[in-house]
Amino acid sequence: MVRFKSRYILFTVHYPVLTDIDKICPSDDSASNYPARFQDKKAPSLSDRNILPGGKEGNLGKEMRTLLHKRPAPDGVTLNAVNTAFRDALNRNFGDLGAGLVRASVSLKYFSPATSTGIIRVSRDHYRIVWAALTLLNEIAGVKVVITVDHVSGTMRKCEKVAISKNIKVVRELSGDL
Amino acid sequence: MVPPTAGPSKSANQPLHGTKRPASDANNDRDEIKRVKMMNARTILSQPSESSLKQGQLDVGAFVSSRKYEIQQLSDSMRKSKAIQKQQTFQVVPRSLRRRAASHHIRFLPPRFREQAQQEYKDSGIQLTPKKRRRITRLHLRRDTALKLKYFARRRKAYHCDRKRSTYPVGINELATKVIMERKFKKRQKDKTWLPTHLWHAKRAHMINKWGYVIPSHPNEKCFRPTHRASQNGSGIVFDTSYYATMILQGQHDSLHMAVNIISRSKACGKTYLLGDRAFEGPIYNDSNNDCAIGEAVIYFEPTAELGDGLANKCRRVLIRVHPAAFDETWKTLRALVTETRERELDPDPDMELQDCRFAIGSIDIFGPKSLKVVGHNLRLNLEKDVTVHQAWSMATAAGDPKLIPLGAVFPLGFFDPRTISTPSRDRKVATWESRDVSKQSLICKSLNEMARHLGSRAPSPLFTTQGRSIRVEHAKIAHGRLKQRRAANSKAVDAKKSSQILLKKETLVFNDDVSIPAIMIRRANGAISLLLPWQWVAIFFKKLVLPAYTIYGGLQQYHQILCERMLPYFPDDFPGTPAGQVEEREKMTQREKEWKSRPRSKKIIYDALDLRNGEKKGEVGNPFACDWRYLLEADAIAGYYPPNESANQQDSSSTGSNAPWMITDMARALSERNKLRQNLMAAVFTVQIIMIGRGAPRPSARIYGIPVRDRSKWMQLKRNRKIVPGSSEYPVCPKRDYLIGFVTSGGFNLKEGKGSGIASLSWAKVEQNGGFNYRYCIVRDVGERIGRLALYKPL
Repeated sequence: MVRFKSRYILFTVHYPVLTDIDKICPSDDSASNYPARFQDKKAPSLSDRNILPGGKEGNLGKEMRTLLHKRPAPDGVTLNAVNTAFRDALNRNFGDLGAGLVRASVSLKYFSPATSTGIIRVSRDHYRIVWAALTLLNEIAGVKVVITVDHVSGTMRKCEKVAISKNIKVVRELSGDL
Repeated sequence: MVPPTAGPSKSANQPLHGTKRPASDANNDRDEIKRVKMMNARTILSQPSESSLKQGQLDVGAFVSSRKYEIQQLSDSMRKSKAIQKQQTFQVVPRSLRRRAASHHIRFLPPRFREQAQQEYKDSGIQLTPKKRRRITRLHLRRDTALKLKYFARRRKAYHCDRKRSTYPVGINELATKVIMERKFKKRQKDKTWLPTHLWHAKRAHMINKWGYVIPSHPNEKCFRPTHRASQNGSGIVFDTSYYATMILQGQHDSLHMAVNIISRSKACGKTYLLGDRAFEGPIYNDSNNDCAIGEAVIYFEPTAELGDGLANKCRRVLIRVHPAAFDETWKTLRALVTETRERELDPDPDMELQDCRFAIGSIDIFGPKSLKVVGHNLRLNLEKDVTVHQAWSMATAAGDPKLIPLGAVFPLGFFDPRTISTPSRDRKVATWESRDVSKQSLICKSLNEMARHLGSRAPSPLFTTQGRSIRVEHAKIAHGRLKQRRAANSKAVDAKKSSQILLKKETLVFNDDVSIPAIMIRRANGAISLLLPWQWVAIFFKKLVLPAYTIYGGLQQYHQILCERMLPYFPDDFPGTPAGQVEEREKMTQREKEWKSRPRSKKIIYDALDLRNGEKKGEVGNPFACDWRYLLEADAIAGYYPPNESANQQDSSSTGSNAPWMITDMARALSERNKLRQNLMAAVFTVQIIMIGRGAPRPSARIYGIPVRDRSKWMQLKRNRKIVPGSSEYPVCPKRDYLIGFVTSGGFNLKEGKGSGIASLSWAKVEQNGGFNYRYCIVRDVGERIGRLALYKPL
């Protein structure tokens, strides 16, 4: 008996051109816990700046980039929106054949607007189509996006573990970095 | 905070083939519940983005907390999806408790799984074997009544007093009559002796008949790695070693001293041993002049207050424990000594006697870093009102590792009947204690010393006397009743003292008719604890040690494996220089030869066709089924070394065949006196540890060669250049027969070291011939193999 094998794709949504975050500041109640450089409010305004990670923002330090690497999604980007946009992309880039091949097996298992992380499940035979569609997806609900794939694996657990370890790294950097 | 939304939307989770929702009835309600449960398990909750983004400001705190929330949810999802996996009961049952009959017979599952299994079996429609129903005819009724009457009669205490033995017979100056364990199976024990735990082991291990005893050889499951783990990191492994022969020598102090002096060549007569503080563990010899060792023994003097002048005529006792393979020789030697002492003209000791306690004193051996802890949890000292000892005992047992106790330390203890005390539940795993902590080690030493002091280690243990050993074993139901009594009394007392700070220990609740079972705990040289007990109590203590705390049990093979891993010799396999070792070797040889002969020609190694490619004729060196000592110690081979006249004389005068190897037990002495002993050393053999340098694991009876001087550089190259592999042309060829120096007696892959290792015996004369004792490299070649592998040897 042949088993049905699948691939789970862990992806992050980035928002290269977004102007709605003006500054980064600590919340009032936990001011003491966070690094000193976030304490002062003299962070430069981020509007009109291209904040792609690796882009040349002069006065955005590495810490800022860390923060904004996976920033929370803007309002329009929800699970349903991602789903629709993704299926759309499949159709546009791979036509009826491509979309039909994967449609039965593909499903968006998890998407968190708070951290812009998601997990998609595909059958093992066609995961590359899905991966390509994700890469070519450039707009969700009117917001320009760039999707990077962080991890592909045969079990959901592994993707979850990778997501957890990335989050732990961020948390550790921010709160332990005193 | 905004309530989280469910992750995947309805559209993503729609069943593929559009199944209709069934009309609800009882069955479908359950399905519905299951479905909802499944969905809940598979959903990962997530936060909407508003919580961390407010008015164009990115709040660091909220940012971090949203990450943390995600971590939490992903972990939960992993946990839930694991839990939701539908596992049948038989999948959850631990491997060692699985039984085939459990698939149709609920009785064969452990009690805690039976209810669940009942439901599952009903659901899956398995035909369960029904409980046996008793037929009710008149004859059967009469039979049942008779049985019931017997049962009621048995419950009377008087019945017990008459029937059950209080102690087992001891042979005084003669061999003891062996004991029959289960009267129902008397016929099976006609020519062999069962161990106290025979029935328990027979259901779980493969038994063999050795040295007149039926001993577990190995458990039914595969346990090479579990044994290693248990003895190295885990709770421990327990063996029933009641087959070890115990003898008690009783007489005046001086005559005892002399006797022990003779058999141990004065090694067991140091002050600490004579005082009874420590037990001696080492080789014992027979009475004749040569240095031939019989085997290893544990010698323990009964403790006295002090060694003084008045001691010479005082009656004392010595406990001597030997392996059953060496028992005959030891008994002969000691018996001869006793008769001699009784009848000699100068200062005879008419009361000296030798008691054969083989079936009166049994023992349990425990290995493992937490083994002390297991002992402490499950056995409790019965000492009235002595809180300090209890504290010292709990401190000592909390350490767990027997290696922390000084070598040869002996503790005479008295335990409660373990069935009448509360023990920790199965689920509570034994907690770790860092034995590496130096400060804790000193604490342990201190507490052990204190305990020894308080126990009055100078007071002899009742285990030495027949009266001391005769503690009757109660029926299990009565013991259980006592347990309930104790629990009730304890909870009452605790309630009464709830206000006070003192935690009432269970040990201090002693009833009037509580028994104190004498036991002696010895820390052995191989890192185990031997617990000596009266024979009738061994089974009860054993079961209590094995069941609760994840300790595993083992057979002879596992004992051998543990010693092999620790690079210690195992009696009798690794003692070819003793008569017992030679008998063992002969048995193994016949066994191997028989197996080989019964195999078809295409499926076995043809030893005659072995071509070592070193210029010699084809064929295996020596007898391929054994460690061929005769071949190795052939006079011609050695004659070239020793001047011919001497060797000829020596051959005539030696009693046994001069080719029989004898074991050197004191390497240092042999090295320093080698010129004096030159003649005797012709057939001498000494034990070494072998460690492989590269790959390969030595198997028993593998051949060991010294490296010829001109080949040394070639072999050393192997160490530096890993690419020289046995197949390649640069790999050196096996040395010729002249360079044979010994054989491997036990060996295999050592999980502790991470490479092959073994115990071997090398011929003294041959080693001297082939390069002396300082060059420790050698070649190990398995029987039937063409390739020799580089190894190091280290004398023990």
